[in-house]
Amino acid sequence: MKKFLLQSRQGFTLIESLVAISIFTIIFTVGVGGFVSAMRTQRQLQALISANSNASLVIEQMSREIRTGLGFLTASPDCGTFPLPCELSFTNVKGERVIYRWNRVTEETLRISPNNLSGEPITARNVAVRYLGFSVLGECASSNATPSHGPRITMVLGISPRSERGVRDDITRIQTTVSSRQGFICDHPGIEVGL
Amino acid sequence: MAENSYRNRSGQTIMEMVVALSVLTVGFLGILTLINTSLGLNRVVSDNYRATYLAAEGIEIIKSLVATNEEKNIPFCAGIPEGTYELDYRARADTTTEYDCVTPYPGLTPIFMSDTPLRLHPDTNLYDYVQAGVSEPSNFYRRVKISYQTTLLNGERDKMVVESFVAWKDKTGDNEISLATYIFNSKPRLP
Repeated sequence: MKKFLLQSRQGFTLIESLVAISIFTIIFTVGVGGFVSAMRTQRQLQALISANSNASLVIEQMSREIRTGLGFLTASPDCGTFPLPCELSFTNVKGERVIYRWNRVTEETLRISPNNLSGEPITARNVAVRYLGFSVLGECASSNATPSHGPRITMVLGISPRSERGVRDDITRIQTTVSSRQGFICDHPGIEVGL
Repeated sequence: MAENSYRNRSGQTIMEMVVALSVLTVGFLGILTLINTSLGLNRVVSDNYRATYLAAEGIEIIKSLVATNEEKNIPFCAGIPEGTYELDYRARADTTTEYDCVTPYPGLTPIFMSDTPLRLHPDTNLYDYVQAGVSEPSNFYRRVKISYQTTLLNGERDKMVVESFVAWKDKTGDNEISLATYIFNSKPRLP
C-alpha cells in the first residue's frame, strides 16, 4: 500500500494551488494586521495610563506644598498663547520661596527652589504637559500686604503622552482647587526668603 | 490498522470545515475587540479622574469661604446658608456687604429645578459657569450641598457638612462621585 501512495502521481492543478495560496495569504494578512493593531493599542494605552498617573502625582505634589504655603503670586514668564499665568510662586512651610512653572518649550512642569535655582522637572520624560495655568484668589502683591480673601489656588493641567502616535492629542484636562490653610499672612516674619 | 488509515480517503465535509473555521475566526476577533475596547475604557477612567478633582474643588472653595469669614470675624456660616448650590472657582466671600447665615454669597447659585453643566473654556481650559462667550458645556454636573449640625448645648450651629457631587454620563451609564467633609466653627460662642 505504501508503494501505492508513493507511486501516486496525482497532485493539485495549478488553479487549485493558486486558490489555496491566495486564501492562506488573505487570512494571514488579516490575522497579522489585527495582531499588529492590537499591539499598537496596547502601547497607546500604556502611554495614556502612565500620563494620567503622572498627572495625579504632579497635582498631589503641588497641592501638598500649596496647602501649607503662603504669599502666593502668579506670573506669566513665557506662556506663549496660553492666556492664564503659567507660574506660581509662594513661600512653603520651611520658609523657602518656591516656584512652580510650566516650561512651554520642553513641555515640563518645573519646581524651582533656593536649592535648585535652575529648576527640576517634576513630570516624567514620557509625559508632555500641554498647558499648566494658575488662577489665584487672595494674591500677595508684596510680603507685608494682607490677602483680600482666604488664599485659594485653582490650577489647570493638560497632559498627554509625549511621543506615542495617535494619542498625542488625547489630552487629559484636569482642574482642581486647593485652599491654603495658612490664613491671612503674606510672609513669615523674620525668615529669609530664598529668591 | 496502519494500512487502513492510509487508505482511508474520507475527509471532512465542507460544512464541518466552515463551522470549524468560523468558530476560530469568531474567537480570534473576540480577543482583538477586547484589546481595542480597552482604549475606550481609558476614557472612562480619565473621566472618573477629572470628576474626582472637580468634586474636591467644590469642597476647597467652601473651605476658603469659611476661612475668609473667620478672618473677618463674622459667623462662619455667613453667606453659606443651608442648601444645594452650583459654584465655580471664582466664588468669593463678598467683603463689601454684611452677610448673614440666610443670604448666600453671589457666587453660590441655589439649584431649584435642574442642574447646568460645568463649561470648559477652550483657551484657558477652566471649568466654570460662564454662560456667554465661547465656552462649551462639558459633561460634568457639580452640586455642593451645605447643611449644619448642632453639637453645642446652646443650640449654636457649629458643624457644617459639605457634600460635593459630580455627575456625568458615559457609555457605561450614569456616574457620580461624591465627597464630603465637616467644617467646624473655630470661634464658637460658648454657653
